[in-house]
Amino acid sequence: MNAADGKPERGFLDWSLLYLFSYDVELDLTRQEVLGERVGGVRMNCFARPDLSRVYNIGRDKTLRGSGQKAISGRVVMGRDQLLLRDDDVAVSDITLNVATDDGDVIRVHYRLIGYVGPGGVRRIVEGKGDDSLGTEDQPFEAPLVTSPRFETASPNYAWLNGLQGIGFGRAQLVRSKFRRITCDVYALS
Amino acid sequence: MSVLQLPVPTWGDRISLLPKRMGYVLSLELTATMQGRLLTVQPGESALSHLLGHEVVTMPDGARCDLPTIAITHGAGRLGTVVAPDAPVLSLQLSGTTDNGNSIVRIDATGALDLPAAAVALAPERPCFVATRAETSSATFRWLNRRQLFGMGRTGWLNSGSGLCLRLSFDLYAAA
Repeated sequence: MNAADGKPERGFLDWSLLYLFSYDVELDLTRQEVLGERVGGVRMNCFARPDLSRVYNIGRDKTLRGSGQKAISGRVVMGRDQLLLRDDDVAVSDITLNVATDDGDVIRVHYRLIGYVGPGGVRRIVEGKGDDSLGTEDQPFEAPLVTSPRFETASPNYAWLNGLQGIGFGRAQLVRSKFRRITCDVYALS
Repeated sequence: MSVLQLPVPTWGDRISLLPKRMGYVLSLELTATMQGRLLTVQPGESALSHLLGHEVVTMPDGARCDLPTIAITHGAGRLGTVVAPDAPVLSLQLSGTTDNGNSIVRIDATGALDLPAAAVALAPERPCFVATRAETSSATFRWLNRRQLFGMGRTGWLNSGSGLCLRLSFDLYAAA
């Protein structure tokens, strides 16, 4: 604030969101590794099932609206989430997805994610059994996610992604306290 | 006349976007000297505060949160990465104290800024974007530990006593 007249020194900065792609990731329930208690929380690793994980354009468009670039679609050939479930019921994820596009290129998507899982949420995820677990096959527990992806690719077709900061709005689905699916819409901040 | 309502699948082949909300929270003003690709934040000219001076904000998920005014006491950063100095990457590590002086807040911000070394002197204003993470032991501002904020920013240049400084202004938004 400007001390002289009480007015802000500048206005709000202009920005917009540019839709890039959406992805659905099915997690491998048999490969969720709980590394156990460590200082600050519990470490856990989750892995995607490449046969059931894919990247697509929500409108099935050939080009991205607003940029004219080629739309991104393909499959997730490798996906892993190194999760730290902190003692303060905050989940911190370090996620990497390698996307093989339908036209033969590879894009690495990397992001960190922070989410508050509610009072006792970490204990329910780590130890949840019976009625105390989160979600059932009939009624999965859905948690909202907000992610901040960056992109890396050596492909000239998608080199424009390298300079973008992304934001993802997604949902994680838990069944019996195990992460089962993640779906997300990814935008570029512009 | 009846209207055909098709069910929207939540998982799998979605044909509609998920709901998204963003709301303004704070603004970050930074002045930093540059040595090559390294940034040193100038303490007296850097702060985190609400642009309109509000003390409470409603987050996109409905939570009401107290807002701090943070004076940045020290900070550093870099453009690019070690292996790719011209990569469009901005990383900042900041530390500051809240207005009552009782709490220290540590902020990490990483994001995108395309400012190649060869173009530094030529670039009047460029957009930059960051995602932040914060840590504090303050009970009042504990929400900072639990949320990632997204900064929409602009660069500028400032001629101060320590030479030409990079000015970074961000509006930080919460998302849900």
